[in-house]
Amino acid sequence: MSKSNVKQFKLVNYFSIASVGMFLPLVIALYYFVTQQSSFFSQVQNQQIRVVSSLQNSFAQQQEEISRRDLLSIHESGNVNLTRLFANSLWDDYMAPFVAEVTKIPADHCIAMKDVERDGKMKAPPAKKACFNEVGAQIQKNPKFEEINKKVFDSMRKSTVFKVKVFDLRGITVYSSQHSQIGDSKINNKGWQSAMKGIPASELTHRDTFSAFEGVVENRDVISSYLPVYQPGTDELVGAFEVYSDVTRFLSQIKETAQDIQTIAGDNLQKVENDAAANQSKVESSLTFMLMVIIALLLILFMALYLIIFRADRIIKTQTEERAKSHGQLAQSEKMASLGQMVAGVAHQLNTPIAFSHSNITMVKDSIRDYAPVTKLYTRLAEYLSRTDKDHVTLTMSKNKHQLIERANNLPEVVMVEEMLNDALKGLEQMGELVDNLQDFTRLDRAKIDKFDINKGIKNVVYMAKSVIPTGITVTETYSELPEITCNPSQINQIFFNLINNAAQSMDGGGTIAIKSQQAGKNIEIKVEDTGTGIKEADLPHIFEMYYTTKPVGEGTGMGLGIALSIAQEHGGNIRVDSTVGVGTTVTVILPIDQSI
Amino acid sequence: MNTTISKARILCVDDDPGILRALTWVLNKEYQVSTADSGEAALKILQDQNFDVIISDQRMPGMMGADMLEKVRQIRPHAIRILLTGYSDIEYILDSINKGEIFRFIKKPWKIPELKRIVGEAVGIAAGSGNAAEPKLVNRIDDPKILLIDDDQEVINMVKDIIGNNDNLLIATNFSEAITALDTPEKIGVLISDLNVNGVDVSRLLKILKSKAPEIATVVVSSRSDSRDVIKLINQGQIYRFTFKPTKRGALKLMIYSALEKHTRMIQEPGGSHRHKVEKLDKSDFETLMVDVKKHATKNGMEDIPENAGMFKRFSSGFNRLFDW
Repeated sequence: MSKSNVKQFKLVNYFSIASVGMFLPLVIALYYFVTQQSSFFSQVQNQQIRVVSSLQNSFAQQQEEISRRDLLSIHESGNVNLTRLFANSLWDDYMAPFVAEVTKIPADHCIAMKDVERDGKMKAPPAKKACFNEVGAQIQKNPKFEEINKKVFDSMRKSTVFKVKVFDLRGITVYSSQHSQIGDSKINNKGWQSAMKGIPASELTHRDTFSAFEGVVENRDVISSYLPVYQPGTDELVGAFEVYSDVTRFLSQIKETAQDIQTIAGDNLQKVENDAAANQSKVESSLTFMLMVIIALLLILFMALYLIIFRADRIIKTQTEERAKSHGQLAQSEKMASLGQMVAGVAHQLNTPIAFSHSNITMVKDSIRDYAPVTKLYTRLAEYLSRTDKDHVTLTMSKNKHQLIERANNLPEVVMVEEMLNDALKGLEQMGELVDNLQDFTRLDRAKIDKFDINKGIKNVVYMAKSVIPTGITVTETYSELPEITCNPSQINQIFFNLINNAAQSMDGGGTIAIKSQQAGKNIEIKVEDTGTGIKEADLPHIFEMYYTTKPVGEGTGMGLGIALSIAQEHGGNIRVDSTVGVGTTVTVILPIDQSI
Repeated sequence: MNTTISKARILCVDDDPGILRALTWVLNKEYQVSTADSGEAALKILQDQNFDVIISDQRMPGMMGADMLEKVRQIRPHAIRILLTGYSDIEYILDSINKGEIFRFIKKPWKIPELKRIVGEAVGIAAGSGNAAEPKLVNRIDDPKILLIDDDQEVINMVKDIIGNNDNLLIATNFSEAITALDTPEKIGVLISDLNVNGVDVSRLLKILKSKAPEIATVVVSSRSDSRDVIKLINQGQIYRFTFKPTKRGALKLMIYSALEKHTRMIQEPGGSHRHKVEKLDKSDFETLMVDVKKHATKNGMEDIPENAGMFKRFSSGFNRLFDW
């Protein structure tokens, strides 16, 4: 049975593989997106932290810078005022005459001395320094120096001013509260240059040691201001002051404030970072939860689908079984229908010999009584003859003469009676032949698998089919000698019965069915050709399908060819159909001579 | 004795020589019997010779019996046609009605007395004298009516459409109405009927009506039937046309018009209706029919006492007239 080799579609297996194949990438993709999202969120948070931190830093920095600048400008203006005050109180009486005098001390030779480069900076060589020191010494020798020095020290005592310097218009330090610096040139100093232009210039510096009025101090932040000095009451520039004031306390306050801000900023940042971490973990846990929920939903979906598919598979299986069962039943009923059709045909055909045999025998039976007197008369005559040795007897028939003549007229001729009985005998033979063929056709009394002469089978089928198919159809048979094959004769008969029936149905009452058998190599080929309507090209691919029929309802189950093919295939053979619309159809049944069934 | 001259001529057509010989042996004492082994051969013989009765098989190589008899109807219209066959496929039987318009359908194997009786009747009718008394023609009134007995609305609409919904069309949708309508058979020219209306078998009515008023042409529009019933309808009811539901309008129209024509011919031709003499209804059929008539008459009477007080009386009297053998 080659038909059962068809692979069965395993629904549940395919579903499981396919859905796992679908769900797994889905879960992986989801997981990927979730991690992506969480890392994106963390990136955003980090960026925010960076922005906050840089904002805070720049704010703190700016705040400190502003404080320092404010400090500087406040002290500068303070120093300016101080210088005014100082100049107003000292300049006219003490400083102006002193400066006028010391300016006369020549210093141009010292200024003219070239600076040398040391450590990348232009510095005065020792000779130049010595030259200026000499100038300084001469200045200090001025008799007014001590008085001025005293006045300066008295004015500055207990103030935040650490040092006061005075420069003449040449840039020579004509006075310094730190005496060692007297005579130094500030010609190259930017502060001095600025002061010379009438613009005060200040600078905040840190000094590890500093010679102040009160003595040497350590670790101080000082603001040095170069301030132009004008002739009191005029705009005439007469020299420059340099004032050093101590801002260590203010600066430390600023630094403390900056430190406080830094701490607060750090705390804020820490808070932001903590919040970010908390948010991150929240987001991550919610994403994980989401992922879990989706996976759980997918699992539920899978389970639900699996249940449905499982049930569907069961239903399909039972349906398939039922269909196979009903298919078998239909095939059986198809066989019964064609058998029934044939039985009806045969029954009708039997009616013909029965009819004339019955009629003839009835007539003979009815007439046999008429012979009784003849036999009686003959017996009498023989009796008389046996009693005498003469060769003639005399019978007096005056009484029966008329009756006798009449009887003779009615008496059927013996030849006719004989013919009647002969016909009846022939009729019986016809009936016997029909019954024989019927038995051969169904083969109900034989083993199912048998060595079988296909030609004999076809002859039998044709004989039977002729009683069913329209009388306008001529059937021609051409047989070549064939080897007997092992087969199920009843099934093989059914193939040809179906084919001849199909051919007859395609011909609408008139035409020719030509049946040819021949050996072709290792096969037997039987062709059934008809001159019918042919099969449309569109129908040709479906003709072997079960229940496919173009016949009106009630005229065909659409199983004839399908059954024929499955029988041929079960015998290791095949069926080929060639058809031309309007010309006819040739069906070739191919059966192998050697087969293993 | 110059019997040969007065002997009726019978043509037997069958492809089986055994049948032809047997028929000859049965009939040739009383009749002049000729034989033909095919429809074509029979038609050829009929071109030159006239026959009173033609007995034909249905299933023969070449031309079918019904087809041959259809042609015989045209070339020898007065020959009485009998079909003698072993095949009782319904389509063959319908062909024998609609095409062959046969007088009797005889099944093989035949019984000799029955065969002889039928052939004798046929010969009698063909000769125009008949061995039975010609039935009295009911006093026909002009303008024959068409009676439709059917509960199938589709058929009713179709017939209304074909004839026009006028006074000439009487419609009976149940057994009682049918009986009432058949009370005056002289009015009816064509009867269109199903065999079963509202579950009651009306084929017995058709048969009885035909025996009393043979000039009515009957068209049967049936939803179902088996061949035995149809054969009875031929032999006992001489139905003129038979078709299965669902019927096509064109086909039904053709049948109705041809039935009207047939009816006219039967009235005009002397002995025309006699050619459609029927066999007597089976006794059991007649008895069950009478039971049905009584049942339906009572039922109807009980339902409609106020308006139809005389209904049952009318039924009885009508039927007594109709079935007065």
